[in-house]
Amino acid sequence: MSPRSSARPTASRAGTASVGAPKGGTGPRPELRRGFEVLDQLLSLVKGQADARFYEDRWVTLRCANSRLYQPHAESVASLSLRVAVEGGQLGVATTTDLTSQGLKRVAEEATSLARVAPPVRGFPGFPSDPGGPTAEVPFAPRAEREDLEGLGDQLAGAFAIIEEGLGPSRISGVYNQGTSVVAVANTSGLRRGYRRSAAQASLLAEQPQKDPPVSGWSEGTHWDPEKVDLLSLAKEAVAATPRTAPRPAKPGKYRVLLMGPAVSELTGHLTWLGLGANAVEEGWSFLVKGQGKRLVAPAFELSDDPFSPHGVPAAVDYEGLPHRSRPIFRQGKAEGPAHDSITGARAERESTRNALPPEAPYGELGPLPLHLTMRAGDRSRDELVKDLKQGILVTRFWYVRSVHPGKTIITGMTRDGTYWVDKGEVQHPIRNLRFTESILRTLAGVESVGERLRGYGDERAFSAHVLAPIVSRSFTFTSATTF
Amino acid sequence: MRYLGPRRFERFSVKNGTAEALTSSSEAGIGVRVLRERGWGFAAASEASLAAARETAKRAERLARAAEKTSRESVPFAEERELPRGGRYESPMKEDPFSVTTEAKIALLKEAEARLHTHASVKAGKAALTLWQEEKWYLSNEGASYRAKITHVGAGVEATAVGEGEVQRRSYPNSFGGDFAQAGFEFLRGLDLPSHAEECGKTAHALLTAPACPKGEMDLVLASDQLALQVHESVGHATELDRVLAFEAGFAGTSFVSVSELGKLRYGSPAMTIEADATCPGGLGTFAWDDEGVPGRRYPLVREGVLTGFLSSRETAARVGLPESGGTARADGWARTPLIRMTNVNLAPGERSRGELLEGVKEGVYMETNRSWSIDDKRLNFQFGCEVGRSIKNGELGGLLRNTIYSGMTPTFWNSLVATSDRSTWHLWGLPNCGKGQPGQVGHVGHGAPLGLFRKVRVGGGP
Repeated sequence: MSPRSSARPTASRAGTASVGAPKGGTGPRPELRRGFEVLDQLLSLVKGQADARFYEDRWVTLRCANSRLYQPHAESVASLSLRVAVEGGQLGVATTTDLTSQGLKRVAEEATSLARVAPPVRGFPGFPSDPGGPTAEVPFAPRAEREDLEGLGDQLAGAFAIIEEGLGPSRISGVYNQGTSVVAVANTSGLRRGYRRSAAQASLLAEQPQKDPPVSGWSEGTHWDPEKVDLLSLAKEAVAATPRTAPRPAKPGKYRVLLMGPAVSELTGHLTWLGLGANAVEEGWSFLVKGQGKRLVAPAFELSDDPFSPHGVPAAVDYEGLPHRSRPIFRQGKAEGPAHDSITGARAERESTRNALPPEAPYGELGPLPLHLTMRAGDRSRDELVKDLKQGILVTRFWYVRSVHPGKTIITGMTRDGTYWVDKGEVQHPIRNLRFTESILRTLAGVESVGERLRGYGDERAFSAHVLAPIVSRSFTFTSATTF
Repeated sequence: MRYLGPRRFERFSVKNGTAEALTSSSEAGIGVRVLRERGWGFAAASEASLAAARETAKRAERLARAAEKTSRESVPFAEERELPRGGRYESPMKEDPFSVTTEAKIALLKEAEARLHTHASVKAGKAALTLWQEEKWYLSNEGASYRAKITHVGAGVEATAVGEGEVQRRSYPNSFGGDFAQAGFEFLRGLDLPSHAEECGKTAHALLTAPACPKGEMDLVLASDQLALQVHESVGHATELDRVLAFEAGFAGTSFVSVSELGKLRYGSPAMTIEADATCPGGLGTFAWDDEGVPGRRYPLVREGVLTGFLSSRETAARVGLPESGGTARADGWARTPLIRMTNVNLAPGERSRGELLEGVKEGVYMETNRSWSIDDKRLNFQFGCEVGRSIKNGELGGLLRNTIYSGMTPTFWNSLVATSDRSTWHLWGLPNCGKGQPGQVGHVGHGAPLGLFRKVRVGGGP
């Protein structure tokens, strides 16, 4: 999924702030201590250069289906990944959940033996040394550690009640994820940094399958503080998104569109994979190959990679351990350069933008990517955005979006869970769902106005979270219609 | 019910002569699923101690109690007469893929990858192989127990050519990583990646300047690899009973198919027969018992165009009054709860040779190897793009077409199936990337398919 903003959080209102491991002096914070102990032990077993990551995740997932809690899930997983480099930049990566001395020895041997026979990585600069300066403090909500199942169950029951009160008998589905993750990174060049993040992510789907055609409404949100992912508010939004009258057929064609936050998150999410990373540029198929420095999107659509946005899920360091930085993606409509880690940066004779992903599969093959895309908020309320749209289609959400042509950033997918016809600056009536096939960049080049309210949209473990607002764009191509 | 690892995983990828990723992973843990009268709970932990197991079981129990508070209705659970008692299953193989040296694996990938670079336009060549091996110990307080050691392997090559405003990819033997099977390293040797790599490079280059896909309603012949994905998206998922019963509405979606249509729904033409077969040799959806202790089964989902079955679990089978589970509940490892997953969902071959199938087309388009797929949450409105297209005139394949796309509505499309080609053209494909569930799970499934001829399909309309 996707995110961005400029305000940097200071100390967490919720309490503890996560932080890196200072060199010397006081030692790592308690929440990172176990991770650095494991990493130090692991790195001592490696001859030569290496970097390593320690992950500790404790999450609970409350899933709802057919208006009840279904398949609730909890997990506690600790693991590590080790990347070893031998002469000439030959790299091997091994991972394990076995954190015993024997497990660490095995993983060190495995990564080393892979590295010894690996084809060398072109331009490998060695693992980065510590750049100095503090690791940014990112907010952490201790309540994310508590599995208050009773309290969460009550909230869900409250959300169900709001939906049924607003819509009558409904089929309610959704999910609530809450948890904490520790990321600690160390390497043989002396870098040792990490942080702990908290997050909650939720979505609610209100459906009335008994209606002909069926109608539904959707809401979602992601935040570092579970208190800010309010299921009762989400329930009200899902109710508001649900059509009250039967959706009318709509014809495919080009329309002006108002894309609500969940729909925008599909655009920014796919844009990330379709060209914002150095791999796509190296391979020649990213739109940035010819588009860097050029005006590709409307000036109203400002996008940055901001790992510190207080509206999302802040992250202090990348997976090479370098402290995150905010940087623009589109400024005044012009595209900035791609995301780099230290390896692709060295090859391009650029600094790392500190967007390294974990080197282990499946991330290692993706190369560096920005995970915290953040829009600059506009000044338009929802009603003002509808007025700005004048005539066109309001889309709550897209579904099953896939790339059709990467170089042209063309994607296809369906509308879902609240699609409306707008005329004369007012919502007229719901319409049946449509398939679209459209270029992301063309859509963003047509952005005329931006919503005032930013919200986080993230994946279930907040590995990536985008901070976004609704947009009005002057043209969007719908290619086929449905009967529902 | 309890599951244990360990799971081993290797992923080696060579891109443009360099090691893009060499990863070796090993993980182990315990997962406990608890069924109380009115709710499920699942918990998992990577710490393999008795204390951790006890704590995990308690956590699962707490979750099940929480689920109970939200429901007044009992969770039904179908009886299973063939539960394993100390059963054992091991994937058949000739050559343990984890015993082959890393040097040999990398040499194979390097040779294949080098041959992709036939033209300067091929900016990225990639050869990759993936191995999985899961050792699972299943126990339930129904008295069932079994141990399984399941090995999946796969590999492929991919050339990416870049031209003026155009990007084209060509893969072998399939896109998105290649082809996969439950087998040993002999399967990877049999793919013979180096011998096919050059053709990939040449085709990717040629596609840059090939004519665009025509637009309109016309006859369409789908190659086996694309038809396998069509089966997956528009039949496999649509017949998953958890979707049909709306238990996946919040994430994976529902289905246009309803339980009341069993035995009645005209899903497709009489040329369409599809079965779920967990006993099919070499399939990614082949196993002795699923993750509820149900034996792998074989049964029809669609027979001569009529809906005849669903993919089911013990809970969903009981909910709709089926006599037994279809045996399709599988979990993506120890840290996930079992979900209904496709086994090997196979489209039956017909009687025509490939040539005879094409002979039935006066003017149409042939499409091969998926590059883009999208379908709505009810599995009705779909659009697929393919890597390679060719025009068909009077039964003969013509030149390359680029950016080929076709779209349609599921029952209309399957009812336009004229014929499938014969057994000699049928291939069991392995798909190791089927996403479902919250938290997310990646399923490994199989699809056997021949070629298929469809009439009056909407093609074109792409970039």
